[in-house]
Amino acid sequence: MKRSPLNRGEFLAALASLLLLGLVIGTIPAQAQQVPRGPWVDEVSFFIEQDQAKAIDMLQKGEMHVYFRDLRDPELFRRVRESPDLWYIYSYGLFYELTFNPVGPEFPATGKLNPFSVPGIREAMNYVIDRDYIASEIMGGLDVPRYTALTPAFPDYARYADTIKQIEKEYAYNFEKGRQIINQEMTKLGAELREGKWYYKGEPVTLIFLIRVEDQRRQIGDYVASQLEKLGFTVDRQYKTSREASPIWLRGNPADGNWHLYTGGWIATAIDRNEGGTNFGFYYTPRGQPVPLWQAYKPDPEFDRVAGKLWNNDFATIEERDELVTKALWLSMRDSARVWVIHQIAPWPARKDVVLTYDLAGGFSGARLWPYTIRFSDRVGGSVKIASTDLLVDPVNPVAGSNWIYDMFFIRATSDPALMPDPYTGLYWPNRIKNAEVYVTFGNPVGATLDWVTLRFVPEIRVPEDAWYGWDAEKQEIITAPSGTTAKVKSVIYFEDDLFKRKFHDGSTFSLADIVYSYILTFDRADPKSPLYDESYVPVFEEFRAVFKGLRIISEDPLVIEVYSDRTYLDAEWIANEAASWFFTDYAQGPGPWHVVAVGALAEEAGELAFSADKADAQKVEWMNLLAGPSLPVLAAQLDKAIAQQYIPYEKVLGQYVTKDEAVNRYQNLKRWYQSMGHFLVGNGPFYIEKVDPTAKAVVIKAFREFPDTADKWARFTKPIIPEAKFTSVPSAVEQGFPSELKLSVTFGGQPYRTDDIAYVKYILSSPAGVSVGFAEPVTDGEWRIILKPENTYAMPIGTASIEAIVVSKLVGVPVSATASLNVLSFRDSMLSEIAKAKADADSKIAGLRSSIDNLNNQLNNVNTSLQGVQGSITLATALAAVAIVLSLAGIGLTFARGRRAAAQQKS
Amino acid sequence: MQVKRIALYLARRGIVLFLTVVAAVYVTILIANMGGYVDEIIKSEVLFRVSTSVYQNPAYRGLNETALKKLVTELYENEIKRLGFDQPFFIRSFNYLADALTLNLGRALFLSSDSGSRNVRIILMERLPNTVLLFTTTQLILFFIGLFGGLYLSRKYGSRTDKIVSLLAPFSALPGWFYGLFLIIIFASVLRILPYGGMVDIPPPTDRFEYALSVLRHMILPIMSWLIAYSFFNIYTRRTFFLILSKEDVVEVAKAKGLP
Repeated sequence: MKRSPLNRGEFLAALASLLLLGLVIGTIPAQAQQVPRGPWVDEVSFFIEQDQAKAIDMLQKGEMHVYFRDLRDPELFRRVRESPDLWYIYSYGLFYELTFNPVGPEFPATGKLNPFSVPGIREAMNYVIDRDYIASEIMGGLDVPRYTALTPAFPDYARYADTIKQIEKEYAYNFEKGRQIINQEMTKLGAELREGKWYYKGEPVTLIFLIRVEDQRRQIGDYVASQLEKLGFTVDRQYKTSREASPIWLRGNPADGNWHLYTGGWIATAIDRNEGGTNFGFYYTPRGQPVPLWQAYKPDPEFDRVAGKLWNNDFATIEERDELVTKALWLSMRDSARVWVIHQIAPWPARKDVVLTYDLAGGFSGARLWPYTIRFSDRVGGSVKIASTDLLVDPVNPVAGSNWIYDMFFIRATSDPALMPDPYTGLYWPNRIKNAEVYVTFGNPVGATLDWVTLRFVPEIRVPEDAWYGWDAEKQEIITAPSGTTAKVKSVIYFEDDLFKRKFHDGSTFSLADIVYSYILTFDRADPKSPLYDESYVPVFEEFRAVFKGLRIISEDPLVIEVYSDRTYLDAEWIANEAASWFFTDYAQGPGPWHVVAVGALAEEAGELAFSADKADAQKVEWMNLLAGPSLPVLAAQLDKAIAQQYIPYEKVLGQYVTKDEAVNRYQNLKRWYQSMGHFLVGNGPFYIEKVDPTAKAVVIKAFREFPDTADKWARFTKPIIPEAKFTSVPSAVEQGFPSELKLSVTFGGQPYRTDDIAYVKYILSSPAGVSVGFAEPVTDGEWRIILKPENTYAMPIGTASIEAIVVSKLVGVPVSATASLNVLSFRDSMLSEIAKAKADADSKIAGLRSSIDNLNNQLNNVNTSLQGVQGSITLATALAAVAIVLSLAGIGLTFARGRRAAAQQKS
Repeated sequence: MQVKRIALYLARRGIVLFLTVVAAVYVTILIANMGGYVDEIIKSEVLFRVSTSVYQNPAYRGLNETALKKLVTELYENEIKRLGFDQPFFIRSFNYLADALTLNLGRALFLSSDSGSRNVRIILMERLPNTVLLFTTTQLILFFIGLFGGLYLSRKYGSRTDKIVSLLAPFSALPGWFYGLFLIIIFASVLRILPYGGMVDIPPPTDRFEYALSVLRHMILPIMSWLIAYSFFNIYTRRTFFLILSKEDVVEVAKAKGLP
């Protein structure tokens, strides 16, 4: 067919239009998807991979995107570090120590000597072990040395960093010093050192060392044993697993003498903002555990008093607490019931094309924010694969289901809390609330850091008599606060205006009934008159009962509540979080819309299932699992019953907040959900559970696009803003008795760190004479200066000193430091130096003056010369003028002469 | 009379056998529980877990020492009660015996089934199909390989193939998972044609047929590793068995009669 020119033109025009349309169509969705509602990605699949070497290979090959497990093998970490496709983060949750048996000096049961009954010997063990060696050689650089009960990277470490740095210097590895102390103390105990071996009552002093074998504690144990052998002890190394060791050291009586020391290990799964309050009491005094070992601790009375005051919050101000913690830090080193060895820096690997938030204590899986921030770095949407070492460990239900981290990391993705924990500081940020007011009675040390919470101190808080105080399971009524009830804290929580427009995954709308139901259930499960009574819940409830003083609903929509409590925290943000979360739908073990929990409650009332493992075992029924297994048909049957009965739980009260139609509508939503998804876990988080495959141990969660927030809401938490500190200006010498100034840059990613985001910059000036501490001053964003006053420098001895600046950010709990060396000159040298400087200055000035005078002379000479030149010129000019005058006079004379002659001629 | 004697004999034998079984089961219970020492291990673990969880919970930080101790003790006692450890081991050992004799598998203390149940029967039944699927398939393939390979080699005794198989028979000295490591490296990591592990693709296919295909694909490497480990030995033993059998008089007679 012959194509006409017109046709060709039409074709080209059409093609151009199509291309343009394609461009437009292609562009619009891309832009629209830039920031989607809900999470960035479309889907996350979880599976199990226990072999870490294989997991690394799968990450490199793209078969997995993130590994929800920390690596313990330095060799594997090296592979991650060297891989161009992977990135990693560190968490700081695991730490090792040496636990000593404190009974003695002789064990009552055996009569054998226990050197570790002497605090001096325990303290000397700090010098005997080289923590740097352990961290670098045994742990392959995956650890930092730890000296105290406070965890590096946690807020209290930053708060007391100066004291801890001093302790770290004081107790640095010094084998000979340790040996001397131990020799003295052993001699005092009556032991003899013969041919390098300690003997007591004619027998070698043998230390029974329980060494754990499951991790690097085996190597640490071997190293410590070798050091002890070098000191002259005979060491009986007993290698044991946790199961083998715990009956001996934990439950066994230390007086039996079955062990002397043990390689202890501890884990922190969340950032603890009050370690200083509890760790001394927990690790060094009988308060810690109701077991024979702890009860055998006999701390120095002063240390016990300080630890007790911290344990019981027996202080009125933060300053008083600072003083107590500082004291406790030093006293704990003198006591050394345990010697801290290292703090593990655990790397968590992921592919570079995936970004997500991590928690400084819990890594990837422990971060509450990971579902909100996970994304591919180069695109919106997509499917992420995450593996862990376990999954679907225990039954899932929001009331008392699994609390394994291997279950919680995907359950949390389906739930949306009232407040969000900051993964880097442990403080809370508003999620479903706008702001809060916290009123605290005087004498309770509470502070506020973030501006969404307002903190006020008041002399007294009276709980209004109409505040909800409890629940009468028999009468099915809410109990109001007794007259005269007081509280230490009142929190006023302002929830988001559109809170009750939020949707659950099954399409049901969030309502006040969800909160009221949660309130009633909290009390009902602890009341023996209730069919939901659970004996195992009572101890926890009793503690809640002791501090909960009342709840008042000030406004129903928008929701504003007042919560009265006797529990205080050091941070007002924590107080507000507790008040907002106590009855929110984000239950301890997952999301709990009232209609889902009510169906579960029906099953428990019928004796078919139980929320808790304890009640399930006691009644020989299944532990309720909303996701899979034999619970599902039971729940389905109860759901049908609820629909048929138009069931409203606690109808006398809840009937005021929900109608029968609304209830049935919710049940119908749940039924449709179960029919399509095959499970009963309904939440309101950024993801919903799409598929659970218990046999294959796989879980698939999908994006909930009706989620109220866009994916970028928490974008600022993708990476911790850990400051970088560096000295930019250090004087070549510091002179005794003279001021000196140093400059420090504080940046992040090369950009200046905002001064407002810095909590403080402290400096520690260390010299052989001692240590002095001070604060740096901000100059501008990213620039700080340290001014050493004359009185500081005067006290510094001649020689080398060091200065360490510790920068503590408000945005992240990890303190960073920068160090510099200073050359200190003596006062005499300084004076001579100053005189020399002055002389040099004077000489220089004199030389300058001379030079100026010479210059002046030269200039004068020049002027002279010039003047002489001018004189010559003037003389010449004068001569010329004289000649000119003469000539002029001559001319005038001639003129007159001519005139006379002419007049004479005319006359004639 | 004769019947009575037989009945008496059977009754006597039955009682003896029953007592033997009871004794054997009870001894097993004692050994498995280390004479009750396992109680101590579990109790210490429970105490440590409970107390640490309480002390690490910031919500309990404000409690005084007495209240904290009370809370820990109550939670510990609850857990011990749940586990049934509030009774002395001696009494529980007879409960265990009764359960074992009546084949009552009961409930697991710590282990849950994949679907979350602690019923031991469910735990076992849940794992049974997969175990059967993988190991029965492997054993069936091994059986036929052994049978036909053994028959073939018994007829080719002394041949090069026979020598090679005999040489490779010690492969079974190493377990299947050892070869599995190499197979994963070759087929999953380098060639990338088979999965690294697991039972099914991630995310699992929604279509049943695709799901089944995925499961089959995931069975290839485990089965291969088992075949490598045990095929040669299997063939070798059967080949030896057939060779011995071929020297039997009956076979000689049959051969003499003209059987091929």
